[in-house]
Amino acid sequence: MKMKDKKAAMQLRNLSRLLTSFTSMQCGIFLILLLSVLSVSGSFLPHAEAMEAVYRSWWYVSLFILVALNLLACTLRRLQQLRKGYSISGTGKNSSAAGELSAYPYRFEIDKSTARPDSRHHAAELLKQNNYHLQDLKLPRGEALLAAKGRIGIYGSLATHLGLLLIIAAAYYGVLTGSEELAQGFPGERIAVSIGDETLVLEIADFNINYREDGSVHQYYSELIIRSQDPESPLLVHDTIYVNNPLRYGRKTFYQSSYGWAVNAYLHDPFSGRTESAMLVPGQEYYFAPAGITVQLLSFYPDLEQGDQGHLFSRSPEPRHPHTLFRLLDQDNQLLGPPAQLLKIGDSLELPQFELGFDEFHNFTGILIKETGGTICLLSGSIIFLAGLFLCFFVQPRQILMLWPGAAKDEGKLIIYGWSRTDRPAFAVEFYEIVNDLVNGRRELS
Amino acid sequence: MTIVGWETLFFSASFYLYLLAAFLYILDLFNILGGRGGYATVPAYCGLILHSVAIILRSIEAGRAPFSNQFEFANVFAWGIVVAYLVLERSLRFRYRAFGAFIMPLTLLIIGYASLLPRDIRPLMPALQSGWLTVHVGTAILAYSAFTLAFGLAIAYFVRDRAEQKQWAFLLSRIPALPLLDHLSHKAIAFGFFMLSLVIITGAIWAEQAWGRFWGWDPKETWSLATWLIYAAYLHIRFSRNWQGRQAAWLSIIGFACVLFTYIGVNVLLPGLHSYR
Ligand code: HEM
Repeated sequence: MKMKDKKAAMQLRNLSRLLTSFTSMQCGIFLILLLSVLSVSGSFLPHAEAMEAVYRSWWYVSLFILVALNLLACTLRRLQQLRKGYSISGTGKNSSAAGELSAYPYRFEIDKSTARPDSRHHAAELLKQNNYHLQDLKLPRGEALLAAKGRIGIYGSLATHLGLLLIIAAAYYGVLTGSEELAQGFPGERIAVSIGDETLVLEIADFNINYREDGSVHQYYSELIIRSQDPESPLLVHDTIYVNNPLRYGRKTFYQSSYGWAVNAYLHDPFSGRTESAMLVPGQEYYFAPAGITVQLLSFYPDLEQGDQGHLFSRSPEPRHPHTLFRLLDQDNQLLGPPAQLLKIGDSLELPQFELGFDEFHNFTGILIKETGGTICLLSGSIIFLAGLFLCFFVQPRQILMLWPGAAKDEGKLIIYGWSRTDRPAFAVEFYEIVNDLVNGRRELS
Repeated sequence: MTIVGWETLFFSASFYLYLLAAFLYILDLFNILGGRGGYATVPAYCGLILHSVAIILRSIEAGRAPFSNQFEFANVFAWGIVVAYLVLERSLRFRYRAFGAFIMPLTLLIIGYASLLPRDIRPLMPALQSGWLTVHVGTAILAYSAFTLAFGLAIAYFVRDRAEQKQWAFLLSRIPALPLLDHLSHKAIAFGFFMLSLVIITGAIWAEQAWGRFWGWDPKETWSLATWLIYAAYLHIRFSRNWQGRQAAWLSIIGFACVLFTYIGVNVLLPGLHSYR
């Protein structure tokens, strides 16, 4: 029994030792640096591969969670210390702490002979002018005046860490609960979009590409109408989106995401007079069952031009000289004819029994529709994080204690103590300026 | 002469003034100017004025802040470094001008890089047409300038460390003492870290508007996260009893290498992996 107890106690001690070293600063720094190195490793892989091999892998996600847990543990462990730090730096409730004079790195003694006669009053005024909060203290060694400033800065690291944890939590929540869909279509088309727990009808009222004189794209505009599935119900939203200006409707957002050309491929049977056709986007293919032929659309050139090295390109976005590049496959997916054939829009290719060609082309617009949760948390986390950083870096908790040993006001010597949590050299300048004032009274008070 | 012509002229003039300043700062570091380090500061200020005029002319010509391509970023980045350095020089009450010997050559390097890049003013592609561009890139300039300063301070830290070991008296009087270097470097990195955090947050907000996602593990995003993590480690090292000064200086150097890679390396060495910028 005793043995068992001992063993259990030892295990407990080991566990607590492990936890302590896990929450140590060294461990935190190590994890942060490891995360940095592993993150960067993915940047050398092609993006899609990196997402699978690194950023979505179990080990990377685990490391991320480990860093977050470490951060949480560190933060909680420091909480007590921070509260103590806050009171050391001068709340009235814990004035005994201010008595720990050895904690003050700066100290200066002023003799009665050199101090101004009204040094007590003068000091108070001076510190008030410097935005210090003043408080009278009775310490065992005598009467004292405690002046503190920027105490809230102590909580900077707490806010920073909590903001960061909120950001990480919200980002994971967003990844886990979010859904998205890409809808591509032409002006006039209606597309049913199922996303989240709702199906909406997205009507593309219009799509325009605004070109500059040099043929480069200035902006893409899609005019959207969103309806509920019920054809009788009134439309819900009608708005125009463009890149950098998405449409937000409830929890869903509609982004102008992509654009491109779509070409109509047709297969005509002169004997029966029947025609079958399909709209294709470069990269898409269509199987014409009557002929047993698959058409793979490779590219579309609105204004075809051949370069010096024989490569094909489009001279302008305008459909002055429209051509398609495609290939044909038979029923066994074997190539029929050359691996890439060029055909002018309007021309046709004679096949045994059939006629194949491309007769129309349109610009289509790609709309990305997303529903993500946790955005408010993400933004609040960012604000808390930034506020925390501001407190850490730009608000400097500091404190000046003036002690008149022997308790008698304005008698004997005056000892001034100074302490600052960070940025000691800058504080030293401030401290000695105040000391200087008290000795010489050079800076006259208004 | 056209506005662009004037801009080019001012840009070149500022380069030569910075070159002169760098040369004089180096002379001052080796105590050849006999303590008259002001000889270096004057061309640095003149260069900065001409450089500022060049940037203003470019903004007028482009009708927007000159923040949108590699040349423009390098140009303003170099400007930011000079401003950061001159602010530091002033805040040290001009006592340690020789420190410019560590910073001005970095400015020249960035300007040299800028001068290799195409300088034509091109209209913005749709994704870049956003008010966030100015905030995002503006904060990036501030962050990178601060990190460059911290890098120079870290180099100075190692030089001073060596000088103390070898008793190189002439250097000891020219470079601030180690605790002050460490302190200044911390301030620069704290400022840079705050700005880099803003860069990443504004970038994420912008990316959501433009591409529909806050974060996409694009190489640029990934490298800026790594940079941010390294500087976070720097800030924590200073709280750790076992590590300090030298380790912090090393992290500052590694962090700056990451800054440069995020800015130049990603564009030059990892092409084709990302679809923009
Ligand atoms: C990347 C994530 C992190 C960021 C951005 C971050 C940020 C910060 C910042 C800005 C400070 C204030 C530093 C200063 O005043 O100079 C700080 C302090 C601190 N951090 Fe972190 N931190 C991170 C992760 C961690 C982790 C993982 C730990 C756990 C070991 C940790 C433990 C601490 C501690 C103990 C302090 C000092 C607290 C104090 O006395 O005020 N941090 N952190």
